[in-house]
Order: sequence, then structure tokens, then C-alpha cells
Amino acid sequence: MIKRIAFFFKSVRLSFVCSILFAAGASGLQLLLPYLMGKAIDEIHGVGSVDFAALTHYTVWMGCAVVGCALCHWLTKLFSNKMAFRIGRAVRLDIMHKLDHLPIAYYDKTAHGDILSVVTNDTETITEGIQNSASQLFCGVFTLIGTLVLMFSLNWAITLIVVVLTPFAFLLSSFIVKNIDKTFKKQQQTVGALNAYAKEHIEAAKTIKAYALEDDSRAQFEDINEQLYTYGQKAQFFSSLVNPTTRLMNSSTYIIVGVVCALLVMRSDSFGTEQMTIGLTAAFLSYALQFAAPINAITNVTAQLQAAYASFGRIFSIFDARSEPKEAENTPALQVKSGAIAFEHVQFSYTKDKPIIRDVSFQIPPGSKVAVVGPTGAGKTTLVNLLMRFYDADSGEIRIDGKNTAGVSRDSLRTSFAMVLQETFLFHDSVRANIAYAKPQASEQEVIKAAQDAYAHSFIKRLPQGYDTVISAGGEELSAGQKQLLTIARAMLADAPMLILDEATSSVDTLTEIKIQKAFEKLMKGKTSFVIAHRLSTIVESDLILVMQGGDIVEVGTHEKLLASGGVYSELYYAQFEK
Amino acid sequence: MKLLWQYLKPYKKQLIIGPAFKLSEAILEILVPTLMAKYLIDIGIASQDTAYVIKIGLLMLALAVIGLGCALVCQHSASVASQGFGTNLRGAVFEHICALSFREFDTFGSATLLNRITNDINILQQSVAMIIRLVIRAPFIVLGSFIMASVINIKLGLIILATAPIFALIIWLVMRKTIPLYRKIQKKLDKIALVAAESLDGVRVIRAFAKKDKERAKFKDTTEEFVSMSVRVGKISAILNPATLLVLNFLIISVLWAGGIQVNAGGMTKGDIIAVTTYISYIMTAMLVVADLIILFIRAGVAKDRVCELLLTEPDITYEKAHEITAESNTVVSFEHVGFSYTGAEKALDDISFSLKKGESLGIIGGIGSGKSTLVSLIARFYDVDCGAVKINGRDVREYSREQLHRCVSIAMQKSHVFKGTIRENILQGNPAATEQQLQRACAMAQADEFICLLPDGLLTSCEEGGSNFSGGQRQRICLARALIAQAPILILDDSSSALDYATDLRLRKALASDYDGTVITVSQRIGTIKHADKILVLDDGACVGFDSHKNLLRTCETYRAIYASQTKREVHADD
Repeated sequence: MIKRIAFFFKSVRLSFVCSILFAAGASGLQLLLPYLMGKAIDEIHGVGSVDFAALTHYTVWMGCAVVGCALCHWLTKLFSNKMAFRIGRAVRLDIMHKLDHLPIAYYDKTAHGDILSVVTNDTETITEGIQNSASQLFCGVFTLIGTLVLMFSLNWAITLIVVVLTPFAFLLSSFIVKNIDKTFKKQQQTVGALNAYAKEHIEAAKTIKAYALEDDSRAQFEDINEQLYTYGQKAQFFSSLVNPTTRLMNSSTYIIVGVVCALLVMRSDSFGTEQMTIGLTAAFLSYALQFAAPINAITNVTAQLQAAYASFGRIFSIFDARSEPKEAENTPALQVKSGAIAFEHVQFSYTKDKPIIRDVSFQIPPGSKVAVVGPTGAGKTTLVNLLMRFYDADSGEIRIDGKNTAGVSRDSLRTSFAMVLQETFLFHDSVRANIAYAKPQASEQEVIKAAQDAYAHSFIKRLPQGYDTVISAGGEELSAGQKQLLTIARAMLADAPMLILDEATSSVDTLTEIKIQKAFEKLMKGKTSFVIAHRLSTIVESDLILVMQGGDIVEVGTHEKLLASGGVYSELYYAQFEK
Repeated sequence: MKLLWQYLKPYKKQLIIGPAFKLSEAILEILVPTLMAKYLIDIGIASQDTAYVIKIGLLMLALAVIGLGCALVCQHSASVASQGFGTNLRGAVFEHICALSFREFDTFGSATLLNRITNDINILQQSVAMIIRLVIRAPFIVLGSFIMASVINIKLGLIILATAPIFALIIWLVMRKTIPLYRKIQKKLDKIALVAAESLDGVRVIRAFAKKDKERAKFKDTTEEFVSMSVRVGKISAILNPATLLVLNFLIISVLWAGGIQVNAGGMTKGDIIAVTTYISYIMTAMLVVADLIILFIRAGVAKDRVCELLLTEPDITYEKAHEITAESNTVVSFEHVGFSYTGAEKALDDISFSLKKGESLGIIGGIGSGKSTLVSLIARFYDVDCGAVKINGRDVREYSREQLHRCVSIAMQKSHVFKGTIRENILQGNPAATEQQLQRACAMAQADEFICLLPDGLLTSCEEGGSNFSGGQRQRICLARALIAQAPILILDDSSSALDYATDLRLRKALASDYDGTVITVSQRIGTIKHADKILVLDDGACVGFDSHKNLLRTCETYRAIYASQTKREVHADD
């Protein structure tokens, strides 16, 4: 884990080194100041005997040191800021990069709010942790070293007492830190759970209001919130123990040094290098006090670093999720020539024990219009998932133009299909950008043409800013049907060699639907298309109808043939006319 | 501030105890050097009394331990009060979000709501902890040291006082520059959340069009903007700390000079100068803490504004208190010259009037964007009408309490959400008090039992967020069952069977017709789904162009005839 975190610091080497250097400068100058001040005070002897020339000399030096010290402090802060934000950015981008390579299955199984919490909260925790602690940590370490050196030069023996006692402070704090690690993890987990819950419920707010579930969802939120209180309070309390405890250790050191010095002075012992004097005792005590400050500063930031560490853990757990198998550099791109599709003994299940596609084989001649029908849950959408390689089949092969789709690049396979899915997803962007999503270089005419073919043009024109209207994040200003029309326009503009329509017109009225179909027919002339639909009127004219039930293809044929055979299809078909 | 105070109020005790104990700790801490200098060194060494030295040493150790005790009490109070405050506020904000109307949801958007309830409240919570832990201590030390220095020498005290305006100026400048930037940064963070959420929720579309690179570039741009703004704000706030250092050290130099002159003239002693400079270093350490606190409070101020903006948004739909509604009317639902628009500009519904009698069922049909969903959402009062009135049982929907209205109307929406939890929990949301029998009945009516009984865990099968482990048709039937189990007198099905195949849809319609006792309002694109309704409302571009039975509409309504023809022309032989 440390190694993986260190990796992020590698990219900010320069800032890292600079902030350390300037921290060293700042600490050095800060230690110099009391020395200069002491010298200056020594020149103030008494009434009428103040050496103003020497006073000027030392105060000018002090001024220089102060300016240099402030400058170094400022630069340390600047570089550690830079480092923190750079790392934050790298972490964010890496998460997104990783998410790009995760299989769809990961998205279907993981609460999106949880992932979102990592992208926003955990990354912020890391950035803030580094930002706040880097300069304190670096300055602290150097002040510690500097003070130690000064003390050694005064009296090594008493310094040894300090050196022996100091680790206790660190041991104690590391003992506490170890124990808060668990509470911190729990706290972060609960934060993730709370975010996931809040995201789901804020996004589903309309459903909640429709069923007056506010009280219920509030109560559940309150439960998680209470849990967060329990862990949060514990984590905060324990982490805030570090500071006072080290302070106690520091005071003890200070007191012990004082007592030992005093005893030595009384016994006139030459313990260490030189005879102990009251003046030396005073100097030692002031250093012992100085010594405490950086230790306090260092332990001060441990809580934040601890939180950052826990956040790194959550980020790495995303990194550790298994990616889609990587494609070799030279994976051939799919080049669709005729568009013949074949399924050969394809089997698939989302979870081991529940087969969704049992053993499906069929052949689709090039350029045909294929309809897939069947009761809900028969596996129709899964067929699309497999065809697009959103999921990979457990066994069997899917071939396009005789080529196994598992052997071609995913992007080339996916862009070979224009796709309209059941779930209408639009981006928070202008209507134009949404339509031209697959083809950003499309001309204005092309966009309008696609919109016209999808019968979206007339309603788009009536939007407040026409094609420039920005669709809100939830797309609330559009009806479900309008959204569907936009996704259809998007697919039309994509102009791919094959087409998949998964319930693409379920929210569109039948008048519009027929018109859209005509446009699709024109567009897809001679191209293979896959249509999943419930409205059998849209299916009747297909070249081939696949009837699915319980994960198997139970009937294959044309409308007339299937109707005549009196099987599942005819049952489904006649259902629509029954009273 | 007042708004947020109520969430902190329950922790008054901690707010007093915490700082008080912190103060005691600070006093004890300051005592130790004095004890060391005056007693241990001056008296102890002078009298050569070993026992006395050890006694004073032990006394100081005891004080240090007591100090630790005080600190622990303070830290505990701080953690209880700040986390408690955060928890209360989060609960209240969530509750407030729940109370927002559909319209306000549309304007806020979920990304910023989510960030406000998480990030912003976290910052506020942290500030409360800091207030308790540091706010009393730092000013105490600054003020105390200043007074002590002034007592020693009033002239030097005045010099110290002269730096106060310089500090005020520095702080004011930094705040003026950074506050607007922090506000922008929070907005950028909202945007990051939005873009990230999009690439999560739209993953299928992004991959289908092979647009990962584009999305990544978009996220990168947003992140870059966020980072460059953060760096800018970081640059400004980084001045605060070194500037404090600079000012106070120059203060020490001035004190050395002014002191030197006074000593030379005979007004003060060398020891006094040492004491004053010591007090200035005390002030320095405290001021550095204050500088850090200021930055935290600037951020907290921005967070406070964002949270308060949300809390102060009065939901534009408020309900009457529960009261007796005795209205018995012949009409179940009626619209009287209803006009409505989402944006204020374009009318979504224009002058709609109709009434539905007891025992009648209603079908609503029309083209895309004709206002079908809008119309039914007015019955459930998701939005308020701009003009006219929507009445249930002869009473305006605005006269009902939330509970009463909800008891009257149950709606299955076009895009209902399946929540994380079991199927059973999802369905019971419609009526938590439902019996096992009612549950079974709702499932059966919604045609959901046929796929549920095939699941190994049946009703206890768990649903992923958004029901992503079910097909579209299965999800719709879970939502249908949820709407049916409420047994409300008015049931609205807003295109809620669009993903069902015809056979299932037919069974659903039959079950509803025979088993559901209440008014059923069905919105659909399919003529077949609504043609058996007693009354059919035909909408065209927000206007009502027909309201009658199927038979009559075929004769009188041009639009209806066109829709009918489009759906039946290939199957005329099978109809009638």
C-alpha cells in the first residue's frame, strides 16, 4: 500500500523536493532567530550602556533572517499545495481511467454513489491531508533535527535523556493511531454507505414522492446517519487523543530535564561535557520547549494523514477490481462487410447458478431485419449485452461475417452497431451535442437531418434555445418519449453498418413510431438490424423472428410461418387483440 | 447563522464544557514554565533542597496529568458536539430535500444536492470541532499575553497593539480574494461529481459509441479547472501564515529597539525585554493557529451559505394540515380550465377541462410531448397548476393534506425507481401495513408473481440499485405491484406497462378490470391498452382534442382516428 501511494508522489518529485528544501530553510532560519535575538539582548547592558551599533548589527541580521524565513515558509506552502493538488488530480484521473476499463458487470453491481464518493470525497480527503500536513511535517522534522543538534552542542548527556524519552511520545501516538485505524475505516465505509443511500434517494426523489415514502427514506437515512455519528465521534475523539497525549509526554520530558538539571547544578557535577549552570539550564529548558513544538505538529497531522490513508485504501479497492481483459495492441478491428451474424451454442449467466442464456444458436443472413420477441425476462436484452460484448459469453461463439467477436477490438465491434437502448440516457449538454454524440464533427445539416428522421426536430425547435438548449442533469424537462426520440436521432447520426433497437420506441406514440421505422428502413437498407419490441406491429415485416423463452430460442421463422404453427408467437400475437 | 444554531443547540453543554476545560489546560500549561523558573530553579537550587526540587517536579507532573485530563474532556466534548451537529444537520437537510417539490429538484439537480449533504456539511462539522478546541484558547493566549506585556511596559504594549490593524488588513485582503474563489471551487466540485456520475450512469451509451476518450477528456478538463482554481486559492491563503510570521518578528525587532532606548534612558530592565519578547512569541504561535482557523472558517462560510440556501428554499408545494374532508361528489376527478407550464414560457397544458364520474375508468392517449404525463402528475399534485383547478371528489387537490392525497391517489410512473433492498421491501413501500394476502394479491394483479416465483429467493430476492439486475419488464411489474398494493381509490398508470409484452399486458388489464375496485386512469401509447376505458382523453400538444368513449371518438375525433389507424391497419382482420 505504501508503495502504491509512493507511486503517486513520484510524479510530483520536483514539488516534493522543493517543499522539503524550503522547509529545511525555513526551520533553519527559525532556529537562528532566537540566537540572534539573544545576542541582541546581550548588547542591552543597562542604563546608558546600550550598544546601539551592535544592536543595529544584530537586528538587521534578524530582519534578513525573518524575511528569508517567511519567504521559505511561503514557498514550502506553495510547493506542498502544488503537490497536493497534483496528486489529487492524478488520483481522480486514475480512478476514471480505471473505471473505463471495468466491465459493465462492475457498474451493474456496485452502488454508483459509493464510487462517486471515492471520486469526490476520498480524493478531497487525500488532497487536504497532503496540503495541510506536508509543510507541517517537513518543517517539524527539520526543526526537530536542528534543535537536537543545538542541544548536543550544549550538553550531550542531557540531550540523551531527551532522545531516550522522545520515542515514547511517538510510540504512544503510533499505538493510538493503530487503534483508530479501524474506526477510521468504519467511518469511511459508513460515509460511503451514506453517500450511496443519499445518491439513490435523491435521484429517485420523484418515485419517493409519488409513494409518499419520505418518512421511510428519512428514517433509513437517519439510521445510517446515526451509525456515522457513532463511528465518526469515535474516530474523531480517538484521533484527537494523539495531540494531548504527546503534549503530556513533552511536558514530562521538560520537567524531567528541569529536575535533572537542577539536581546537577546543586551537586556541581560535571555530567556530560561541562559544568551545569543555571544559564545552561535555562537554555536547555527553552530548547526542550522548542523541541516539543515540532513533535506536536507532527502528531497533529497524523489524524489527517490517517484519514488520507484510509481514503487511499478505498481508492485502491477500485483499482483492484478486475478490469475487462486487456486487448492486445494488435487486436484486429472488426470490418463489417456483409453483416452476417451467427450465435453458436452461446451460454451465459450473470450469476453462476442462474443461467440466462441456456444454449442459443442461430444464423442471420446478411442484411436481414431480425426481430427478437418473447415474454419479459426471456433474455432478450441479455442477447444485446452479449452481442455488444457488454458481457462476454460463458461459452460458445458469436460470429460476425464469420469472425469471432471475442477476437476483435471491443470499440470496433461496438461502433459497428448503432444502438438505441431501453434506458434513455442523455448527457448534461446541449441537444445538438447529444445528437452528435457519436459523430462530433457532424455538420449542422446532418444533425438536423437526423433529428428530422427521428421526428424530434419539431419539438426541439420549440425548446427555449432550440438545438442549443442544455438538457439538465436529470433531463427532467423532456418527456420519456422525447428523450427516446433524441437517443434515436443519436443512433441515426452514428450511421453504423448494423443496428440494434432494444425497445427503442416503447415510449413513442404509434404514429411517430411508424414514421421513425420508415426512416430507419431507409437508413438500414441492406444492413443487418436487430429489433427487440413488444409491439408486434413493428415486428410483422421482419425477415426473421426469433422467439425467446426462458433463455432459449423456441421458435424461428417469418411472421406468417410462426402464426401458422400456432406456438408461443401466435399466442403473444393474438393477445393484443383480446378484450 | 441562526438557522444552523438550532442544530448545535442541543450541544450547549459541550460548547461550554469543551472550551472551559481547554482553557484550564492552557492555564496549567502556562503555569509549568513559571513553576520551573520561580520555584524549581530560583528557590530549589538556591536552597540546595533536593527533596523540595523533587517535590516541585512531581507537582508539575501532576499538573501535566491533570492538563491531559482536561484536554480529554475537551476533545470528547468537541467530538460529541461536532459530530452530533453534523448528524443533526445532515438529517435536517435530507428531510428538507425530501420536502422539495418536483420543480425544485429540476432546478437544483442531484449532483449539487448530494455534495451539499456530504462535503459542505463535513466542512461545517469540522469547523465546530475547531471552534471548541482552538477558538477560545488562541484568543485567550493572544489577549492574555498582550495584557501581561502591557503591564510590564505600556509603551511596548502600544507597539504590540499597533500591529493589530496590520493583521486586520492582511486577513481582510485574503478573505476578500479567497471567498469568491472558494465558492467557485465548490461549484467546480459539484461539476466533477456530475461528470463522474454521468460516466457511471451512462456507461452503456459511452461504450456503445466507443466514447471513453471523449468522456475522459471531459472529466480531465473539469478536474484541471478545479485544480487550477484550487492552486490559485492556495497561493493566496499560503500568504497568511508567513505574513503573520513576518509581522510578529518585526514586532520583536521593534520591541528590541524601543526597549533598548528605554533601558538606555533607565525606564526598564533587560529582564522586562526578555519577558515581553517571550509574550510576543506566545502571541505568534497563537496567531499562526488563528491564521489556519481563518482559512477553515472562510471555507465553512461558503459551505454554510450553500447549506442555508438549500434549507431556506421553501418548497413551493405545501400541504394543508390533516383535516376532515367530507366532500362526497359524483365526480372523482375533474379538471377545470387547467393551464400549466414547466418553464413559465411554453404551455405544457392549455385550458384542459373534463370530469370523470364515479365508476368510470379513464384512458389518456396522445403524441409525444402532448402533456399526458404532465396531466396525471397534476392529479397527484407533483406540480401546482398555473391556472384553473384540479379536483378530486369535488375538492381542490390543494385542500388535501399530504397523507390524504396520497391515500387517494396511487401512481405507477413511467420511470419508477426500484430501490436497493428486496423485492418485498420495494413492493411494501406502496403500503407498509399490507398483509401477506394483500401482497400476494398485488403481485398477482401486476403479473409479477410469474417471474418472482421462478426466483430462488422469491420475494426476498434482493434488488441492486435501480433494479439493474432485473429486465425492464420485470422492473415495471415490481413498480406496478407497489402502486397496486396501496389499494387507493384512484390508480394512475402512467405508461407503466410499456415494457410488457402483449400477453402479459392483456392479463394485467384483465386483472385490473375484474379485481381492482377504484378508478383506474391509464396513460398509454397503445390503443389496445386504453380502448376499453369508459372515457378516453385525447391530447394533442397540450390541448384536449377529444373526451369520449372509444366508439364515439372513432367517429368524432380526427387525431384519435389517426392513432387508431396507425396501430391497426395491418391487423384489421384480427380486430372486431
